Amino acid sequence: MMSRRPNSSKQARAVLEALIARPEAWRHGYDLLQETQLKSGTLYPLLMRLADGGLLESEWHSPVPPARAPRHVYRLTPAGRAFARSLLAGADTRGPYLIGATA
Amino acid sequence: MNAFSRSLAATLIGWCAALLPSDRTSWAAAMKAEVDAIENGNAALSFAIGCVWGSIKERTFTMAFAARSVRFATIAGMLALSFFGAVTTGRMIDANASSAMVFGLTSALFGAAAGCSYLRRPMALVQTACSLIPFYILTYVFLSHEIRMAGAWADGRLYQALAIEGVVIWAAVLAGSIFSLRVETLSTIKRT
Repeated sequence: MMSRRPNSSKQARAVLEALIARPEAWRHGYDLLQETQLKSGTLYPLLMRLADGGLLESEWHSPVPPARAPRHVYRLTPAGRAFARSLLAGADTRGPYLIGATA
Repeated sequence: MNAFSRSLAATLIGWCAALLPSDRTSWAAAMKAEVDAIENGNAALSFAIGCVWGSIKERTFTMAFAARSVRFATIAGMLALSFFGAVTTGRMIDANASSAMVFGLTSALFGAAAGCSYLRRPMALVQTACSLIPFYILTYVFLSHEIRMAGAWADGRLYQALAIEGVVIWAAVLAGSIFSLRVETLSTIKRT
């Protein structure tokens, strides 16, 4: 298998920072969007990449008014938290993950 | 205005399901749920536009898509060359039969290679290119020698140019086919 280079783009860092700030909390996409100031076209591919790498878990949560339909929520997995902490600490993060770029 | 923005956002977000690869269906549903939850129409519209762009990126910025595009471009390019060769043959057949024959053979060769590529995948093109590149190089060397020995015999320069063109075209085809093969191999490894 081709080894993948970790990507520490500004956008990836912003998302990881937002997620690691409250690691136990489930976050909505729009919530993350507002916190990171990213566009949805950047955020969702990043979330997909994190989920593909086993760094992000997701669930459907029942609607809380005024929302009418269930919403998809996200939080980092234990592996994702470790990865985020090491990335944000600027440590050597050589691993099998590629975040922030489409393969 | 808010209702119009919301309606447009709902339409656009519906496209995401079609744009995203089939294994991303749940993500399309997630995006739609977010749009439904955003109260401000303009914010929902901006969110939906971003999602459509993200879906297009997700669909197109992949190796598999690049490989399919390269394959399509290769086949289309060879068909175009075949057509061009056939038209040139038709125009030259009365004026210069030998040159018309060269163009006719070139046309047939590219037509056959396009068909082969369509039916037998990139490996056929790799094999064809590997056989033809040495042939074109030898033809060029032979023509260079003949021109020096016997002066400018009929269309020697034209055939030399065609030989160089052949090397360039088949080298490009070879590179594209190797890329496609590489992507196919990688996706097979990932599946197993």
